[in-house]
Amino acid sequence: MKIKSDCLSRQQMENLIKNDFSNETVPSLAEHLTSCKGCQKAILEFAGSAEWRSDVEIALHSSDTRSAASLSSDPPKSASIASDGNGADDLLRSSGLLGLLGPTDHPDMLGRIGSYEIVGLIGQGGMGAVFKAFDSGLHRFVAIKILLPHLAVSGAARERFRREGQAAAAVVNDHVLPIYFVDQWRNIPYLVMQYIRGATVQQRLTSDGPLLVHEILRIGLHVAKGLEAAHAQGLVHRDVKPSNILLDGGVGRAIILTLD
Amino acid sequence: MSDWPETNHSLIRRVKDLRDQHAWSELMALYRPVVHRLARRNGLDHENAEDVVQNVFVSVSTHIQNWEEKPDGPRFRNWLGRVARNAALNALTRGTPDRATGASSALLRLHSTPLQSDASSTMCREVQLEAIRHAASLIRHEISDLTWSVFSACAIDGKEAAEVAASHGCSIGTVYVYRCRVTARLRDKVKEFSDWWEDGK
Repeated sequence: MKIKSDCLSRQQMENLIKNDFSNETVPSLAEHLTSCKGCQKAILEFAGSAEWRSDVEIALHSSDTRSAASLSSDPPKSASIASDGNGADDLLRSSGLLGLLGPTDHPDMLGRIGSYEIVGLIGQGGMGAVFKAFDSGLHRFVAIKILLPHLAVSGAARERFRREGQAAAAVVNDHVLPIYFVDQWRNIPYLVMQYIRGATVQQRLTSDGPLLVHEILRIGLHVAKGLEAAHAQGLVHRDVKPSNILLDGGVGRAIILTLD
Repeated sequence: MSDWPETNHSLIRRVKDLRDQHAWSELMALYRPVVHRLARRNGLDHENAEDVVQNVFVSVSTHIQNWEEKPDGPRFRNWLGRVARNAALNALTRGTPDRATGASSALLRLHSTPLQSDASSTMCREVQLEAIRHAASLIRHEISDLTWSVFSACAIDGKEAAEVAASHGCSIGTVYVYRCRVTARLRDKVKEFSDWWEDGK
């Protein structure tokens, strides 16, 4: 049984904490602290209130502070239809999108939309989130774009999303991402699209710098062909930009994304 | 489409003196990730979120010109933090134009727009959490790897002191000391940034 006089005074705690940041501690005080629960609690409280300690845990939990690297200047993850879906985990957790999904029997899957097993989140745009999913009937991967839940509360937004999906599905062209199917899940409309590995032009620009002239011409030609096919169906894209143009990994074909 | 470098230069040129420049870089460090994150949470993609961020800080930078020190007014950093919060809330809620406009009318609007208290407190909270991350990155080099590793295991990963002591080969008392050193240092460092979310009348 420890006697009271062994317990750390505030001055001793302050010395232990503020003294310096070397690995040295005063052995006798540390020894007492090892066995005395009261002092353990007291020194924690002395260093910061429970509320403060909880804020620290929340703030630092998600970021990797174990390395000395800077934290706040990390570029936010850019996700698009072209990425693998691995980088979007944080987004998935923070956005409440998981709540959209139905239960799945497969341990490797995140959940289910309709009959599609969801593999991961590919990205999120202004209107919808795009998942990578597995179509077990046809044994292939697909990309599923679903209207964001907070937009889906509006009937007009649901109707517009569905109508635009159907219109876009009518465009058949090598340079427009094919839409297989338009359906709804728990009253939220979604599109089933071809899944293509590759990088968007924006990702290419970011990682490799400016494109060569012949690449610019080829991409420009492909995009123009795709838009021509869309215009023939009376559709106007309205948002053609590098992050909406996918470069098919293998063959260098440019494909326009998200006709909406 | 990305004209960041030039924009950054013009922003910095607008900042009047050294005190402002220091404040500006702190403002960017704390508010930039927060505005970006909240924009993403509102469903914007990365590029559009970057646009919002840029609009907010262009708008804020034009208002720095209008800062006047008054004996009974708020201090510079309190004031600038409020301008940034209002600009960000306007841009995020899209209620009012988020472009930099004529100084006096826009300033009037910034000051007269009532803060949506919910969104505003969310933003303050996010800025506080960002301040903890920023402070952690600033103090990290002062702290030995062993001390940081112990702190991180207890305070971030929530491991028991006895477990951390065993895995780091030190006594439980030492674990408490290391953990508390970093906790207290972090608290002191974050205090230096508190102007950014307090109103400071």
